[in-house]
Amino acid sequence: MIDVEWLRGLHVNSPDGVIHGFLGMGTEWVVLQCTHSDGMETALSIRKNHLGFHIGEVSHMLTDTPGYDMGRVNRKLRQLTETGGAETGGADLIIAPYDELYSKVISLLAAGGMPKLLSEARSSMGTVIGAMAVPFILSTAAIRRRLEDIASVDAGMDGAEPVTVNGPAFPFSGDRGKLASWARLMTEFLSEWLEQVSPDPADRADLLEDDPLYIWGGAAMDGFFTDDELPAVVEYITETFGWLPEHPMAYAYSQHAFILSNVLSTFLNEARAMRLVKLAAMLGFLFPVLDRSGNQVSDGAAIRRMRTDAPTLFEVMRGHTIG
Amino acid sequence: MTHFDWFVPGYDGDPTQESSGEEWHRAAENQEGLRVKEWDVFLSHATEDKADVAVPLADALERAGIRVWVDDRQLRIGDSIREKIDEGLSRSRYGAVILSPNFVAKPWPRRELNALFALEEGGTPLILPVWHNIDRATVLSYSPILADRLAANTNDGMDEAAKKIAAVVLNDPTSPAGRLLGLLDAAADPDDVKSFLLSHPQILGYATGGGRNVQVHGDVSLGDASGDLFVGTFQPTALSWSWYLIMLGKVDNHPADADDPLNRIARQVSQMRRWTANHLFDARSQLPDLRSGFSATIVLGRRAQLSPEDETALRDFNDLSVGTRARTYDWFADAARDSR
Repeated sequence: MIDVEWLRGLHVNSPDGVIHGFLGMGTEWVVLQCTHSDGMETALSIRKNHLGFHIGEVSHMLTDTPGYDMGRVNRKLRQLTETGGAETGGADLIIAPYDELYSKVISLLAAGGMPKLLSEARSSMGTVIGAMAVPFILSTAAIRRRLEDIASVDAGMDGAEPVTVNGPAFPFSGDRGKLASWARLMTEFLSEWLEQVSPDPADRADLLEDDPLYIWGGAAMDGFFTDDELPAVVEYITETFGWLPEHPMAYAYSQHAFILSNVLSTFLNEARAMRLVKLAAMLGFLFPVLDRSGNQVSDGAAIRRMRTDAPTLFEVMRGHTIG
Repeated sequence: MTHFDWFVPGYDGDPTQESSGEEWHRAAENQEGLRVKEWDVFLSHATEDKADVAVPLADALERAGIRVWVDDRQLRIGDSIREKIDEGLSRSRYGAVILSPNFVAKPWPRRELNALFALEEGGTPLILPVWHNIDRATVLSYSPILADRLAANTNDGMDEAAKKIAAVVLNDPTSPAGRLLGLLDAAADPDDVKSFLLSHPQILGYATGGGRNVQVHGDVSLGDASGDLFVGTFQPTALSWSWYLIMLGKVDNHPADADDPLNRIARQVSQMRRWTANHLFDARSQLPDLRSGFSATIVLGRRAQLSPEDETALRDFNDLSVGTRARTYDWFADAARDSR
């Protein structure tokens, strides 16, 4: 939740100056009062979907030095995995990179249906990853919720009233009734389409919000944890959930990170996805990540995993096969 | 006659209109929020006291969170003091009169001065005398009524004088903030607090960051659970509503009570969120555009009555919880004061 009382009390040194107050909150933005380093009073607008606002911690998005309590952030992220995002309406709504990713998918569907989404996926991700990623993304709870959200914008309202949907990154507008009809049709269509293409059940899109790598990786992409802090984050995750490559859901977690890193890298911003890749590699999950041109930009191998005496997912799986 | 009656005609411009001051006050609150008057206090002073007393006192009052108006047209010989103060009170909740040697040296009609205080009989003081470089004997010889009505003395320093005035203004039992504090101090039933808040949506708007134009719904059923107060803000950019739930525990609850009131209510909130996620259309038929991840605050207990165990329970809850926050009822009291 965005806690206005907390925002009113913010007083932090930001890269641009000093943030010392809350000016207001709109549909998409939180506006903070800032005294610029040259003394000029300015307003600083930051998108509401930033994780720090929702868990009430000052992330690196606002400050030049860590302004949060790492233990508390870890406890709150753990809470997110335990509730499966139920308390926030979905972790994807409060973690900016995920919000932007799913919003982009919905906006492509709204702009040109499945042909548009598939064409964009093929051109940016390539055929192989695209063929794996699109069914996975479309079978997530995040996409289902977003379509349900649009499908019921006419509830209790005049269908002719206009509304803007799909969040701050890729919004689109229309009459409530027409948008709701479109979303209902799209939901039905996707249900049939997913039955036909049969996403790999081992990918377990239904477990995404229980996946520690998804939640901590999202936090790492959305302004939390310095590189120096990542080893402690890995320790916390390991203490809490065990060494992830040995977790019963390790394959699914690895697939989640692999698909999302590639989709984020190709659809949105390659640099942002690298924090998820780095955390995954430190936890023993190694996979290739491509950029929009199809070049491999990382395989995580250069990143030292935290427990060199513990196996990577690959080693765990090879062991299982041999055994 | 209530103490509001005498300035009603001046406010609405119709001196012939008869109305109950209490009714007018309520109507004005509903129309304009808690800021019924533009200022909390206006300062009345002799011309000679402006620079040395009125302006520094006004600055100190502003520092104490009081909205203050220093009339540019200071009191001069021959002015009708009653007229000037009437004028001030038409825009301010209180008048502070600086009683100084300069003030008492002027030949104000005593009759008018005394008449001012007669207006307050049976009610909360409206005129707050501030003594400046003057002793009781001098004031007594000038006006026995004034001598008994010391509100503040600048001999204690401007900040101290301002603090005393602020204490009167901010704790006015007839103001919404004062009435709310009265309810909380009496450990009122949460339903009574809810009724009060429903009729003062601006308090909820300020507390939740929704501003003055919020819509508030009480007792909204979402499945088997019911939300005490849903505060809605219309977002003009998205042309849609966003909602904030407030759940009320007991005013005399303690977060660390054996029956674990915080987590008990938090479970109800979770239940409502899950129901909303699964019945979005039905939920939105009651509250348009409601999302299952609505923000929520659980309110219970009073800040001053928290034991160390209560503080730990509150802190632990807030450290762990995402999407729901726990606060004491002082959250409302602070919002009522700050939203004036």
